[in-house]
Amino acid sequence: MSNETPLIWTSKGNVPLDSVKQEIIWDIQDGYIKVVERYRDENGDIVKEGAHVYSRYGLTGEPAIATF
Amino acid sequence: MANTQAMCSSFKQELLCGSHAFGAQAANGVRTVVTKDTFYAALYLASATRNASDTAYNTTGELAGTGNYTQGGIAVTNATAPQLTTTTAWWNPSASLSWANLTSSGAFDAVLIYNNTSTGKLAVSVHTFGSQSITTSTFTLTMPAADSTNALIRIA
Repeated sequence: MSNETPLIWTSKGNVPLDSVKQEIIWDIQDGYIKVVERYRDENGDIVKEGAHVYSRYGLTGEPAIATF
Repeated sequence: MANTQAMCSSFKQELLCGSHAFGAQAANGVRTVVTKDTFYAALYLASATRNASDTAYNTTGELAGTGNYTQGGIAVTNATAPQLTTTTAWWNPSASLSWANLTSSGAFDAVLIYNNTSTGKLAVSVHTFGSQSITTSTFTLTMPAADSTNALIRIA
């Protein structure tokens, strides 16, 4: 059984997972839903941040035609 | 300065000229497009000004080519031809857009879809999603439902 410390890849290289604090932020808007996964080190600096955006809908073009 | 979600105005005109092929064209007796175009997606800083006036891809305001981002963006997966549902024609990318191990050169909030096959790389549309920075992680844009109500590009 391994007792190695789990690591996480950050802007400061691989650091122990328990040395960073995770924040999950949801941004729910009419057109999209975004979830941000952020990690801060003991100084409060952001060392890792990813985001996933779900576009709820795209764009519509509505043709206009002339009448005779 | 801000990015504004919009279908590019020039794109509407170009559709009438047959400048974009999201799928193979039906034979029209004069010419037949059997090879569809390749579309790309590029990310733009929140300080940029991308909107309906865009006519073509360019690097102004794009994320710098650092931190595992390549200017020009990434290819849009296009495995499904445009569809028609009752009176609405629509097209949707067939996979999410994803940038792995990215560190963005600044906060960004927009993606430009453009025709990478066309001469001049004609613009299609601008989509916004709220200002965001990425640090040593993944940024993913998941496409809307592939139907006539939600798809990325629709002509009603």
